[in-house]
Amino acid sequence: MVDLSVEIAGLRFRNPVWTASGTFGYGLEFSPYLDLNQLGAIVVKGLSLKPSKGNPPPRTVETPAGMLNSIGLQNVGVDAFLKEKLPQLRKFDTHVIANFYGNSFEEYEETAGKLSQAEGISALEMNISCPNVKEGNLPFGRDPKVIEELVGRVRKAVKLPLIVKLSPNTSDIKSAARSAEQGGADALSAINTLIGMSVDVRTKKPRLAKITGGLSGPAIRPVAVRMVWEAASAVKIPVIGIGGIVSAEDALEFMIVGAKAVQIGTANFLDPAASVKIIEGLRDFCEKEQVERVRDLIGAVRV
Amino acid sequence: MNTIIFNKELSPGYFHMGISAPELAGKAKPGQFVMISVRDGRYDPILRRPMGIMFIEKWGIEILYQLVGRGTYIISRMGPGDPIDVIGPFGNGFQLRHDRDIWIIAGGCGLAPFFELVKQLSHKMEKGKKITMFLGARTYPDLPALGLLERFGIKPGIATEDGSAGFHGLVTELVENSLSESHGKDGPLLLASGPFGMLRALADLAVRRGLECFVSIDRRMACGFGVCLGCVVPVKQVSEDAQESGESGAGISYKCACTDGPVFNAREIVW
Ligand SMILES: Cc1cc2nc3c(=O)[nH]c(=O)nc-3n(C[C@H](O)[C@H](O)[C@H](O)COP(=O)(O)OP(=O)(O)OC[C@H]3O[C@@H](n4cnc5c(N)ncnc54)[C@H](O)[C@@H]3O)c2cc1C
Ligand SMILES: Cc1cc2nc3c(=O)[nH]c(=O)nc-3n(C[C@H](O)[C@H](O)[C@H](O)COP(=O)(O)O)c2cc1C
Ligand code: FES
Repeated sequence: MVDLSVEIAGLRFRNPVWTASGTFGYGLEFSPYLDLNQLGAIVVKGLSLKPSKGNPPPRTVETPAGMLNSIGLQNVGVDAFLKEKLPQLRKFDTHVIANFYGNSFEEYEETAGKLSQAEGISALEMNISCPNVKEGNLPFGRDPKVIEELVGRVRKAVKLPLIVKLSPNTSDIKSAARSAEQGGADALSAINTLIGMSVDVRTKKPRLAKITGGLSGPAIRPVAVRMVWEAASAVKIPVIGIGGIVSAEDALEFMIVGAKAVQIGTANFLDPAASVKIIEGLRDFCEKEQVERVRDLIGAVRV
Repeated sequence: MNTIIFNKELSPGYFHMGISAPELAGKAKPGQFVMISVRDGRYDPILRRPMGIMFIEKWGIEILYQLVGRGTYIISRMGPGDPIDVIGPFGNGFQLRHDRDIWIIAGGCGLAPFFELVKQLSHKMEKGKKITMFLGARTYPDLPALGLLERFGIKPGIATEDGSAGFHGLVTELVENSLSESHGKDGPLLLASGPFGMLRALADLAVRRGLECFVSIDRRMACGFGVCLGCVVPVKQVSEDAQESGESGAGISYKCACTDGPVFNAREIVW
């Protein structure tokens, strides 16, 4: 029997395959297609202090081997999540990881504080790719100094393991990773979507109402693998790899460059059972290659 | 995985496909849709395509589709026996009302979801109540599958923008002309599907004439089952609680076309 389990921030996961925030709803939407109990973890849609209704449509556009989205972090808000969604998710024997964001330092702290008091959440994942409304709308995740301060403040507000989700829209992912580690993150996840744009050449109009959006899917995978490799070599804390994973081999690519676990995003739209197929694929690969523990492959890259 | 039973070109660019999918069919209702994989083993194109359910049979479903781009081209090349990956059914579907006169207004392939509706309703209508259909297209060849309507004894009113068949003009004009002065509160229930502009014109007509109107809305869909939040339709806001953040206009909130729709009360939508 292959051992697929991994340990991150003191938590044991039955396998390294998690679902990525914003692509798996609040989990229950997928129960017709797969057994949620088989997943390593479920990362829920990004939560904010108050409900957010998101951006005007069109919000998605298909691109080569990927898609752009400008959902605008629409969500039910942390209170409704705790009251309506979490009790249903708790019934499953799977780690629930609450992804959250804020538009100011205070919102981050307050949202994280509320989440960390709830029962049934294993860890928090902090999205730092959103704009700092008070500071000219510059994304928090771009400036290493801001990252360190923000993570430090949230760290003080919560007891749960804190995963910081890095933005790829920065010139130096290593500095961003180190700042998050310094701020007190227990783990990092990378990458969030890459900013992109698509234009209809006949109407000359951008295809998204908000003009630009986040690129996801297989198209971003090589960029993501490179960034995860850089981040993993810059810090001691675990890194979770995300970006364009659609198969077990893709997941292994991330693990081999240093990711301790992976998250499946856009692939959930193409095949709602994708995540469990990837888990099965990992098991098959390990059996064929005579790998006893999948964790033996972590960081095995030969450079 | 499902299997294609048939895939026929009805008229240039319009296809009628039968897909073996008994389980899916067992759950389906008129006005719902499916998400069809057009990946062909690759990742470009990558997303599934939403398609309305035309007929629900014991063995599966039938769809009516127009060739418009790469995804529909890929499925148009498939044939009987080929595997096809279909998930669903999704969406709310149309409410079935036997107790009212129903006017169906469809533009182009917007006709698709009404076949099953008519199949289920036509023999059950209460005495004196009937189904009337109006179809619009740019030109006559864009009116596929007319022959398939005959088996229900329905002769649709036809409008073409170029005058190649029926009324010369927009289908919404034909509908308006057909409404008698007396049509007020007890007038027909309007059910519509088609291009956005047509639906908007119809919504406007419904308000002016005090008629109830439900429309099936097309949106780009990445998932089809309520998780990407990409397919939203702006609706009039009823409660204040979703108002706090987000950058959209006041008085608007969003509903998902895939789970809250695709059928909406026309009065609910912010056109
Ligand atoms: C609920 C619903 C039911 C539908 N039912 C039918 C039907 O019964 N028959 C039919 O012919 N068409 C139907 N459509 C439209 C159909 O989904 C599009 O024509 C199809 O996705 C085009 O794909 P393509 O790759 O050929 O075109 P492309 O233009 O190459 O597609 C590019 C992208 O845009 C999306 N897209 C393009 N046109 C539309 C559209 N009109 N609506 C939504 N997304 C679009 C595609 O899904 C794809 O992601 C329906 C759409 C929805 C939302
Ligand atoms: C429609 C959509 C919504 C997303 N919403 C969120 C979100 O709320 N919070 C977040 O941290 N990341 C969000 N993401 C980013 C994904 O979690 C993931 O980092 C990214 O899509 C890259 O992975 P993928 O290529 O496997 O999709 C979203 C992505 C998509 C496609
Ligand atoms: S298409 Fe994904 S939420 Fe509607």
